[in-house]
Amino acid sequence: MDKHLKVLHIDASSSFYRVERFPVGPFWGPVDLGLHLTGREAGRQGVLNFGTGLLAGSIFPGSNRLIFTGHSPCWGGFYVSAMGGAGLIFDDLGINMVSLRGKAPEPSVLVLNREHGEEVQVQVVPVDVKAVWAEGPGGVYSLMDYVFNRWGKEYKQTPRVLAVGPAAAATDFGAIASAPYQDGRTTHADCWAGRGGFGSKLLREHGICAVIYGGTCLDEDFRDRTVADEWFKARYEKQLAAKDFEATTKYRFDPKFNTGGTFGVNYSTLGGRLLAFNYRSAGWTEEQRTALNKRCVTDHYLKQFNEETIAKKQQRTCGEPCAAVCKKLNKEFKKDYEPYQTMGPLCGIFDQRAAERLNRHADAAGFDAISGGGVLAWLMECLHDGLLKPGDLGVASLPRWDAEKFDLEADSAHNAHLGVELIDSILRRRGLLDLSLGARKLARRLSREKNPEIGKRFVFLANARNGWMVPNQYWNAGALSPMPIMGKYYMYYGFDFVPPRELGRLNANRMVQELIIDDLGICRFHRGWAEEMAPEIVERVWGDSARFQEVVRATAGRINSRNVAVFWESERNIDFLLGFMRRKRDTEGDKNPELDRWLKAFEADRRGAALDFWFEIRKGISETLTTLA
Amino acid sequence: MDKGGGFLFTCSGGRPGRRRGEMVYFNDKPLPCPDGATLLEILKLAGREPALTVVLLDGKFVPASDYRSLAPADGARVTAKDLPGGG
Repeated sequence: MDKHLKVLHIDASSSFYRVERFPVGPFWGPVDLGLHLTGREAGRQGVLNFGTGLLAGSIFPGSNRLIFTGHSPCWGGFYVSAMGGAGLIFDDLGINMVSLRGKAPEPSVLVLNREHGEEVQVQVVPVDVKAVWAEGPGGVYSLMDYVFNRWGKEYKQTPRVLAVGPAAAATDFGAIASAPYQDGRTTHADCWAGRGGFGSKLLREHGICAVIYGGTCLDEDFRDRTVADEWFKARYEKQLAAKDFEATTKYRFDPKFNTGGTFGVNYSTLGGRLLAFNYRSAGWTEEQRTALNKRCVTDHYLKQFNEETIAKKQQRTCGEPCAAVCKKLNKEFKKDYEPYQTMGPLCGIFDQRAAERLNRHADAAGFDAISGGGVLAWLMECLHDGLLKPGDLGVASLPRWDAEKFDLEADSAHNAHLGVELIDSILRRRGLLDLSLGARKLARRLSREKNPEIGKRFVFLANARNGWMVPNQYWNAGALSPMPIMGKYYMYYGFDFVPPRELGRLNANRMVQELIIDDLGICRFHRGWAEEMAPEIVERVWGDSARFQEVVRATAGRINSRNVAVFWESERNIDFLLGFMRRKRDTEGDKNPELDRWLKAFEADRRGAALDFWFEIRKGISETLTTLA
Repeated sequence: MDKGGGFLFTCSGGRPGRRRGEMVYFNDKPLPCPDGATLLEILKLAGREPALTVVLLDGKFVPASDYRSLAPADGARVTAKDLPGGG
């Protein structure tokens, strides 16, 4: 087993590279080491790190995440973003991480190949990326095909490609995409390092538009299934494969709901928690929300998904052998809950054809789909309420957002078309739409120059001076927490009311648990066993689980030491929280006296109570993630 | 140490035998459980899916890796919160 973590440092400006080794013990994985490298270079140069956990290439399912770390351009702080399956082929390079620095003078492809020899061959090759993006299927899909077709044959075994789209050039929230290949052809099971804007970082800070990598290095990975089965049987009375099959039920097919995947299970269980029309539904009555859900989601949007995707078993993996088969598809369209929520009901879209069109357009452009959908929904509301005119945004129409008279297909198609136009406006900087420095800066400018109401409608987490993030699509207080990294599940997102101080502590503890599996490169869809087993696996393979957990806790503390979360800048954030709490009391009958006390405080002084609530969460976070405690 | 309804267990694992059944307060409601029941057993007894449950024991967060070894003391407060699948 690895005794050292091998980092390949690459300077994109010169193609110079070198390998540095870090001992296992003080360092354990891509998150703690990525944080170390980011901090070591801070003030001198920015670095983008991507690598695998120690279990990559092992028999443990879900252990081949490719983890990206660095200073996020959109969040304005250290960030962690994970991509499914892409670590399996990365492991063939015989290294644990690439740390990229410097900037190529022109947009270039980074070619990494290790064919038998001791060294990874590194090339930085300029390409006319704008021309490639404009061809064929467009954007990231064209670039993945182009890179694979040009360099793929140089590899003894099928390589993998990471690619960015035009959103990486035009905004601070461009993502990184990668699709597995089968029989020499790309599949439609796109995988994304979506959150954190690392596509923008890769292109704008390092001049790299794509990476192709692969090799033939065989290192010593844990592959003894008999031994692993013994560990699992001792704990679960089941073999590894059987336990994993059980733990991934939701993502494959859950007979309780007769559906599967995040889209199917989440929409089957939402009920009155549906968020729609840029979160305006948070201010509706429960009857209005459940009526909308029944008519537009359950009886149409979800029904289509179940008939087309689940019943026909259109599903794939991210590229590694995995029982979750979480990539739910309809032809070339891959469907996850959060993108199909933000570019679905949040934008006034409740029809799969319309959502497919908009999501595909955003994906081809290479956006972080969750943030992209949040921005589109906000802009649509500004158009709907007359705060902005179509000409301001380079579009031709207004959204159709009348929930009572909503035509499921026609109005969804209309709103999707408007979303496509808005995306094109963002990419071409039409009208007032300059998102090169992010949506928070745009909101500030539009509020100042056009109407102060504009910024009040945009739901986002604010961080540092310009950092921003559209929250995860779960209607609860956890989703708006002042954690040092937001937009992923480093927080408590259960639907119960938790008093804010306690919520802060829960957030912090959940962050540590999530970091344990991120630092090992394990997919959180396997956390049904991974959270429990990870320390034991580390103990049995590397013999020092206590040290590993200590490093992870210290990493959480160090990340939090840079916590520059900013109090909610948007009124709609407060609407979101208040709506959640009112629903808990009035609909679900939660009699927690703390809930009642907070609601009364909000009624007496809305903004003051929101500030107190926010700081209470922050206190809970700080008292838990104190490194010297 | 006798604490009324049975031995007080430490949080370090191990399962010394108890003499009679005990009670924990599970989400503020009394829940009888067998002697020496671990958090994992208590969660199953309460019909919870341990992997999707966040647990506080007497107000303190418990990592999932400790559910199997941690045996709450008689009279302990176990708070269980559902964590959706996410994603």
